[in-house]
Formats: sequence, C-alpha cells, structure tokens
Amino acid sequence: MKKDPDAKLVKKAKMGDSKAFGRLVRRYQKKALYLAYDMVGNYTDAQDIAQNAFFQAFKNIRSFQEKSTFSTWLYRIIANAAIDFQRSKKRRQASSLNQPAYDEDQQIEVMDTLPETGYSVAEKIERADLSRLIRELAEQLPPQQRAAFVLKYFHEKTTAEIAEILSCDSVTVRGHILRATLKLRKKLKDER
Amino acid sequence: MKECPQQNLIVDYVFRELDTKTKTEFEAHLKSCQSCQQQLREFKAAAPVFQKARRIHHPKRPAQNYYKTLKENFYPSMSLAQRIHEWAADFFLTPSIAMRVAQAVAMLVVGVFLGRFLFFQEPIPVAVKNETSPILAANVSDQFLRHYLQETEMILLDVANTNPAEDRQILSSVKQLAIYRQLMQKTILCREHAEELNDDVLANLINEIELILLDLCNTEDENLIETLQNVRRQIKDSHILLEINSVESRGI
Repeated sequence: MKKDPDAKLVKKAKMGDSKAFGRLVRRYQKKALYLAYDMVGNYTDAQDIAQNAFFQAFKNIRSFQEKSTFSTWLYRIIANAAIDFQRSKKRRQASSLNQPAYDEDQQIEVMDTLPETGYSVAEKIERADLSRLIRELAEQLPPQQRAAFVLKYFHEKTTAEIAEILSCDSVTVRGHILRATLKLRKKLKDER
Repeated sequence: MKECPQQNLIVDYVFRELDTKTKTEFEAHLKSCQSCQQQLREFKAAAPVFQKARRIHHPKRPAQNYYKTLKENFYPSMSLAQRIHEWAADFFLTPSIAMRVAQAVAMLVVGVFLGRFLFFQEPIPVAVKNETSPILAANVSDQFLRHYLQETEMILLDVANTNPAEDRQILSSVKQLAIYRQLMQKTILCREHAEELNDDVLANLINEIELILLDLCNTEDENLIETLQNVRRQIKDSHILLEINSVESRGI
C-alpha cells in the first residue's frame, strides 16, 4: 500500500479531533461529489450520496483500519452507496415504467458543461456533446461495470486501486473495464 | 471468435500498469493470439475517447447546498486567530520532514549570524601592536644597526624568493605587515644613527631599504602581485642585497 498523505489527519480524527476531519472533508468534498455524479448521473442524488458518505465516514472513522488510504476508503463508501442507489433506482423504474429516468430539474445546459480550455466554441461543443453522450451511455452499464469504468477513465485510478475501492480482485476489475469499454465503443458507433 | 483467458490483461497493458515480466510475456502471447490482437485494437481505439470525456466542467451552481451543508457540519468558519493557531500548530508541533529541514537551516543561519555578531572580534590593528612595543631611540646602537641590516637582508631575501601567486596569504597577513612596519620604524632610527656616524654609504643604503619597505607596508590584497613584482624588480636592479652584504662585511 502506498503511503497515505492523509495519515496524520486520520489519526487526529480518530482521536476525536473534529477539525482534522473537517480538513479531510475540505480536501475531498469536490472529488467525492464528482465521483458520485459520475456514477449516478445527476447532481441531486450525487450530493446526497457524497454528503452521506462523509457522515458515514465521520461515524465510522474509528473503525477505519488504515489498510488502505483514506481516499480509497472514502471512494469505497461512495462507490458502494452509488451502486446501491443505482440498483434501487432500477427496481423503482421497473415498478413504475412511466417515471423519467433522470431528474430533469438537474439537467445542466450544454454551455454550462463546456470546459474552460483553449478550444474553439465549436470544438468545445463537440467535446461537451461527446462527454455527455459517453456519460449517458455509461448509465446503461451494470453498476459494478460503470463504477470500474468511471474510476478508470474519469478518476484515473489504477486497476489495483479500483479493486480496493470495489472490494474485488484485479481480474474482475480488468474484465469490467474491458467489457464496458468495448460495449460503449459499439454503442457510441451506433449513436454517431 | 473464441474469448482468450488472457484478454483482460489488455487493460493494464494499454494503461502501462503491467510489471516488466508480465508485459514481456503478454507481448509474446499477443503475437500468436488473434483474439487478443483484435480486442487490443478496439480497446486502444476507444480508450483515448473515453479519457477525453473525463474533462467535464462541473458547474458550482447545483452543488452549492452540498458545500454549505458540509461546511456547517464539518468545518464551520474559523476566525483569523484560529486559522493562525492552526497554521502555527502545523508548523511547529507536527512539521513535515521538509519543514524540519527548513527549520534547521533557518536556525543555523540565525546561529551563525548571532555568533558573528556577538563573538567575532576584529584583529588588533598593527599600528596598535607597534605602539605597545616602542623602540626607543636611546636603544639604537651599532649592534642594533647590525641586527637591523641582518633582519632587512633576510626579509628582502624572502621577498625576492617569494612567488606572489603561491604565498599570497603569507605576504598579506597581518603578522607579516607588522614585521615590515616594525622594520620601517627601525629604519628611521637607523638612518638617524647613520647620519650621526656620518656614514653616507650606510645612510643611502637605509634610504633605499626604506623605499622598498614602504612599498611592502602599503601592500594590499588588490595590488599584492603587482607590488611584489615591482619590489622584486627593485631588489634585483638596485643590487641592494649585495650592498647590505658589503656594508656588513666592511663593518659599522
């Protein structure tokens, strides 16, 4: 296991130092939200998931055995919550087929999602469209596959880290990523 | 096409996460496995496209409540004093290794500065040294004059044989300058004595010695080499060493 850059804060937090935990929250609040968003596809649910993950982490920090880094542990909490959420959402959708698949209030304008880089507007729109399309297609993946896919491509995690986060072995993770990639490639081709 | 059991390694292969041994083995396998070759082609084509999708811009607006809730629950805003206290605690109580090194260097610099400031003493000026051992005119005698000539001869011999580049430190040292200056004092007294003796040859010799000693006394680090070369030339051209010898052998 690589050295945890948060080890000191975690130790303090374990001893009841709420400020130390506050600093951990500040450090990971963005990443936590983005991971949850990447896994569930809308901000309302992502916020709930990320928020609850921090509350859960705060409650259970004493039982965190530090076998993995704090960020991996937090990512695991978020990933598990997001996978559970997706499963329950699918069940809900199956019981009421008329319900929309996503929260329309939370849809962001395309222009909102344009990255502020040196690209021309046309390029930005094309990239933003492609990003949106890929994210929409990823929603159709099974939860575990989607989690592995998101962690690999959007959060740049290694196979070993993903295996730790998803509590499975590396072979399974590689399988998830390979299948998800090839599946989405095919869907992307069909869409375009 | 039949699925190959090794095809999962394609992921780590493309993302360069395989160790050298596994990579070599997998590359060897790739050469003979058409299924893996096909999958690798497809995966390689797709992966960069999905990586680009990572760079989505997350707007702050929809997440404002989220940040607010976290702030209220986990890190309520701190006063400036609290922030300073927190920073100081990080800096002094739980410093990182880099911070400790920086602290050690800072302490060393402060220590050296204070040490120099408090304990460094200026060397006693040569003039003061000379004043503490005045040569009284009353002590000047023929024997004193002979000693003076011997001393001068040795000093001039030293200078004539000195390589300015190698002996720079010695020649510019305070001790050496003190010797030259002391000799200068003696020169004045000896000239008076020579005049009293009506010995013109000796008086002229002392005058010449005085000129050379004057140059040596005025030697500074900046003009050391130049002055010494002049002095050496002077010693050589004026045959002063020969003259001193002849006066000594003639007797005073």
